[in-house]
Amino acid sequence: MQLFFQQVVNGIMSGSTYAIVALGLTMVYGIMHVPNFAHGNLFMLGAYMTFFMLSAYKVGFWTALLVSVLVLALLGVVVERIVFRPLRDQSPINSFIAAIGALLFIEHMVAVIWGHGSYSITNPYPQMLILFGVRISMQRLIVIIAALVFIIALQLFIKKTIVGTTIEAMAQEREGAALVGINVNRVSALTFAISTGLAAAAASLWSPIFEITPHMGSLLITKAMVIIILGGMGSIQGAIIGGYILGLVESLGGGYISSAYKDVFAFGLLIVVLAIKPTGLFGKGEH
Amino acid sequence: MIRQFIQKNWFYLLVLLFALVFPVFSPSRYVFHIVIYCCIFSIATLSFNLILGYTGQASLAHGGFFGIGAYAVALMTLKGGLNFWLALLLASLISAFIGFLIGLPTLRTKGSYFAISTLCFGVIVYIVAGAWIGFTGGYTGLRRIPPPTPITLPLVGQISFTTPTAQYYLVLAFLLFTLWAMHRIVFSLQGYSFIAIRNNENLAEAVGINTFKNKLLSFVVSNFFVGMAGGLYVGIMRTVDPTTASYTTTFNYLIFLLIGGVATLAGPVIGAFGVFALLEYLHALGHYRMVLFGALLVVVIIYLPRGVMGGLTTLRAKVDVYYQQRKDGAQRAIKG
Amino acid sequence: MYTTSRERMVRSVLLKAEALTKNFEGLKAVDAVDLHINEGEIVAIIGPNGAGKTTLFNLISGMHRPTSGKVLFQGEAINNIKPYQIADKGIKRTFQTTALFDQLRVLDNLVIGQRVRTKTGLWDALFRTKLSKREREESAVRVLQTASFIGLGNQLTDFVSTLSQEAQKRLAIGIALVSEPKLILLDEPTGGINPGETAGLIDLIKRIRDSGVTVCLIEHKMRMVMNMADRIIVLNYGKKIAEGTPEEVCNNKLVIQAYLGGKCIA
Repeated sequence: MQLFFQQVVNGIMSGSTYAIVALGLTMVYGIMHVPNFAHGNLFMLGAYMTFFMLSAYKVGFWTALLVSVLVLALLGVVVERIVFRPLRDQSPINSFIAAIGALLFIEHMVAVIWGHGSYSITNPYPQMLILFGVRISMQRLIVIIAALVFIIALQLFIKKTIVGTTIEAMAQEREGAALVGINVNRVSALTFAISTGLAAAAASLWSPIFEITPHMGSLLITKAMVIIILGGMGSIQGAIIGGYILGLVESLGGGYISSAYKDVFAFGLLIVVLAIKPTGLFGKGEH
Repeated sequence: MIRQFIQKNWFYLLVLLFALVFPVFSPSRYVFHIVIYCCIFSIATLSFNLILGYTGQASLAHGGFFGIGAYAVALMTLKGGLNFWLALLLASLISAFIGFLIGLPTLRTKGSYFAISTLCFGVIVYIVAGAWIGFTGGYTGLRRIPPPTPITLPLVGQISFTTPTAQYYLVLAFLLFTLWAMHRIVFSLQGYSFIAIRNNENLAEAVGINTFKNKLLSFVVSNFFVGMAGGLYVGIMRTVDPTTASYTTTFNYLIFLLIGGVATLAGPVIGAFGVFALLEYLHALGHYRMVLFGALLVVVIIYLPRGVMGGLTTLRAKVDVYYQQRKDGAQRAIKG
Repeated sequence: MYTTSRERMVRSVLLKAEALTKNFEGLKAVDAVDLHINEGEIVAIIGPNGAGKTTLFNLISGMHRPTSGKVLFQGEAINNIKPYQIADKGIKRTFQTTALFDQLRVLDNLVIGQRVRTKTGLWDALFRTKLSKREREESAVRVLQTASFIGLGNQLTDFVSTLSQEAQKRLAIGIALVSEPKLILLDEPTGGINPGETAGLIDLIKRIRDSGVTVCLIEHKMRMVMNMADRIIVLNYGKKIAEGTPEEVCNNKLVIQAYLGGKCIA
């Protein structure tokens, strides 16, 4: 029983990270109608940025995180401008391929600058807590709480602020949005900034627990893609719920069935679901 | 008739001639190896072109099927003691068959969903190859895979495929076979179905083309040839490991295809030779190469989406127009 | 051009819709429509914007499944089969936003339109079988015939992007015609074309009917419809509100109220 709760907690923790990454991905899909393959590597870059600030400038953890979020948000805007905007009116395959190009560029740039190998970030909150008989490190708990904070803040932003509702409007009807005077370029840039900034925050919180490598983004992005397809591309709720479900399934599956094949669950599940319902679990079909 | 044929295709015949006598120039072992792998990658890129360039479906499992072909041959010859040629045929068929099984669920989805689900399949292949230690040798893979079984030709005697020259002619033969097959397919009514699907899938369905069946066909044929390429690869390389099946492989073929030019037959070959040779030439740059290619991919897809071949065709069209205008201008001057 | 009643009785019913309904999340785009189309007719479907005309075409051509009701073509139910199968049975259509294979040339478009009548597959392609050669020739003949019928005989090697709007409309009709369909559905064939150029298209449509192909078209240009159609069906809010000859429809009070809003221009 102990093992079970332990796995559940781990599952919620990894689920939190999946949820944040998937949610950024689905937000961008909502306005661009193309899955941004480079998103996983922007996440990775966020982790590296924090690492860089910590090791080169010796600032505090939260300062490093803040810098990382700001830098990555800016980078997200740049990526949107030079990679995706020129391809906006073309076939989605082209944006797809451009995203792959950006993915390769970022991944190998990081490898060039920091090398192939992995780095560790010292855990700023190494204390262990015991909650309901389960051992959990403070850092993991922070990841879970932070994710909830981000999710709630984002929901409020989207529903309650003018800018947020504009994003939602544009996601639903891009051409119509332009007609009613919404500045499509600005909204796209902002959505990218938020999506990438959130990813950087999640990455920074996550990285003291695991090691960071230039390749950590690739597996993550593939899983995030699975999540948003299953949850319905463009659906924020779907991304969040899907993220947590995947986290739990992997954790429990890895613990009870097989840890070597842990990563396969997500992908096998996707193929099976698409075989039954080609538009995804909650999807109504996509572009 | 023959004269017409030569007149129309003199350039390609020249290239073919050069390819056939290439070993006469005594290239170094290193150059030979590059060319041999370029031929194999050309086969893989040509087959990628069929599903992506001509049929418009972004299969990101291409590396995975290359790996399936490679592992199939490796296992059949190393552990099963099978004749290489039989193993190669079976591996291609296995790759095609698995493509059929995967295509059934994934091809009913559109666009991005298909790309992602095939990517996921590719990742599954990579993970299974790495985790099934007993069968596939795990992450270290398999070594000491036997070379292609020697064959005896009349007049020439026995040919063993351990020398670069023999290997070169082997892969060249398969490349020519692939070019022949692709040429026949794309310039036929069947090819028209594929192109229709790429250009406007909904309209193709509306005019009576069974888009699902045709997409599946293209996918299966494409996977047959890339599986074959994988099998050849392993016969030359003599080792295999999970990275052969990774998404990196898929992205490499994507780069070769896009830079060389989609939806032409020369494009994939040019891309494979050009880019791979460039990759090798820039070997000293290490990871910078991939940084460069990532950027190149973005630039090409935005500014030169038809790749080098496409750019050449557009250039030639522009030159034709220019000369035509000059001619018209001259004629008008004469008349006036 | 109006047929006598006796001639109309003798013609067989080619297409029949029975209580055809399509619901889109609570909105009844097509509401229990009964209609029939006789062989050799030109039938026009008119109605205000949003009346359900294009949805009706989508239902007949298989792009949407009806929520309820049936579509019968030559006595056979076709409401549950895929669009490509319906094209195979002999119903082809054009789209309101001109749908073409825009990366290709005129002749390629026509070849693709005719592909449904060929059986060449992978094997035939690889081994240049007799079948593949024969079908290539048949295709070529059909393509040339259709190209000259639609007036693009001299532009076979032109790319679609170089064609005028009106020529593109003709090509779209050509793609539908080249496979020798029994029924052709034209969705606003003169949409966006200036009045000077519509005469050519009207003539084309009449020639299509004269060649033995039944025509059903959606149109907004009232004068054109009055002069060309044998029968008119009027839709409003998804329901059929009138049906008959142009004169009958013109004088129908419901139609005048809903759509014409005044005297009918006959």
